[in-house]
Amino acid sequence: MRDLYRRLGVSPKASLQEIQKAVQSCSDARLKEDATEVLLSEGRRKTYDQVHTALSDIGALRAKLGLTHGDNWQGLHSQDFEKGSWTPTSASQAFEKKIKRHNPKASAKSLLRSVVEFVSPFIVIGLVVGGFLYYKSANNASTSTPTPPSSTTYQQPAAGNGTSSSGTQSANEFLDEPAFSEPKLALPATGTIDRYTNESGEAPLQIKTSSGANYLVRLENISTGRNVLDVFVRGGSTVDLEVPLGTYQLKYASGQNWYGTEHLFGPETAYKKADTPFRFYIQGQQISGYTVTLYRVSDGNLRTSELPPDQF
Amino acid sequence: MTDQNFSEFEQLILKSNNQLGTSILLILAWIAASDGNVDKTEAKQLSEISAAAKHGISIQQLIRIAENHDLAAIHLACDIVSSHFKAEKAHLFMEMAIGISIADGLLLPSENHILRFLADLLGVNRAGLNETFVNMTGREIPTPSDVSSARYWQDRERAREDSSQQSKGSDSTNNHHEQPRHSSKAIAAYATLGLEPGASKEEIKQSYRRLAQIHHPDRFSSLGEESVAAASQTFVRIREAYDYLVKYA
Repeated sequence: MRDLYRRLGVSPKASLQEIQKAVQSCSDARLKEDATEVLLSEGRRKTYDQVHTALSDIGALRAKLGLTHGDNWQGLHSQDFEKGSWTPTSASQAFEKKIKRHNPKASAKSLLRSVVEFVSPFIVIGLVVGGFLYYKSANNASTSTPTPPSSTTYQQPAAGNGTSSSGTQSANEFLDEPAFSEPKLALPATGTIDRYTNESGEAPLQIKTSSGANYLVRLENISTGRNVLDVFVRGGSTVDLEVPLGTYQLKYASGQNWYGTEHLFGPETAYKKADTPFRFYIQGQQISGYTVTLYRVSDGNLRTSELPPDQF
Repeated sequence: MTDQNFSEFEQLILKSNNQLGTSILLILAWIAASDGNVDKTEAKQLSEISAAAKHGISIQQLIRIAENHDLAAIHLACDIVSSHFKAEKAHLFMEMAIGISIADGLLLPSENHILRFLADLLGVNRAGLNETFVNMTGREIPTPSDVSSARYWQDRERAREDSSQQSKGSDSTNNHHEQPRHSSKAIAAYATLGLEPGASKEEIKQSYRRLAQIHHPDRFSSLGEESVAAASQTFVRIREAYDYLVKYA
């Protein structure tokens, strides 16, 4: 869409008379026709103005955000709304600077909390970069990775909590750990279940795993926190269960070798829990169940987080 | 250096319990306000999402910022949203944006342009945007009408005349365009399922299954309450349309 106001040299707020005058003195036949048909009709101008406002907003935002190329912007003849000068700035960085200036020592508690929450994605980036550098230097690699300014800026709050030194500490702890000497046991078969409830299973739950690791999957009643069942699933296999109706927290432990129900997969056990509860219920004639696939997929919808071993 | 004070939106972000949710809502309000005013359906949809976001910010205030075209605020919201919805997650945000755009059953050119802008912001290409749109509505995303050309308005006028002439001549028997009459509610229900009025029961069922799967709120659970709420609204709309058509169509 073209910017008729700009082409006519009038303001978008111009009165009907002003536009009429500009149209009369316009020498471009096509522009004259368009302007007459579109801007000199009240109803059409209203529609046109809506789109004009949206495109003016978008043009300005594109310039601010530095969206120079846009697959979805091409071919719509909207170049009239592009800004001559591109001045990409980061609104979030400017905002963070402002927060700092207002609050140099971050003394006001509530504001500090907001700052930390707000920059938390940057902190994560900062820590990842930090960990990476540590790893590199341990391997005597001489490449230096430039740290993006945002991550250096926001490593500060994390370092204040003692996080920066914890990398080394945990590495030492790991080295100092006494060797694990429990005997390795035979892997239980897929579908080996320990049930901790008398309720009968009604809703279907299917668990699929990828090969590479074995899993012990646990369902806990979300309101009581009580364990309802444990099921063993070997890597690369599928198990079908029936579980009592209710809402559960799903947790799982995974690893290669099995050391029994006390030590599970030994010191290398990974403990995870699903971030969302699983609800098994009856609606009409249908019973709602789940299929859980335990491996990484790019568009997966089951978010999990690490779980401290003692909470399993 | 420049302005020392926090803008209205910056203050809201600092107060918010859910900064991402507040940013999403400002962008959704901007879409809703792009046709000049936020109507009842849009306002209801926004306040439901706002309640689910549990951000502790008044949605009215966000709507007012959006209606004032506060570009600095929208810029900041874009920054926050684009840093969260990366790669595969981007289309989930696009689904929310499309949902509010078609809340009134129409995709206006202004809303269409904003959707395209948001797609570019999140790195969703034209094919990706179209795919998401087709999944949600059953039809392709139209090219925004060029309302700046005399041609567009003339064509429209002509089409209107044609259709009024056609309806005048339709009293006799030789009109093969005649279709069974459908109430406006039925037409809206068909449109929600992405179908032409008069689609068969089988088509209704298929379309419902496909859409219900795509919009099932569980799919959005990893993105937080506001996304689940937005998906639930769409899901409920789809189910209502299906229930209606099964009963009356």
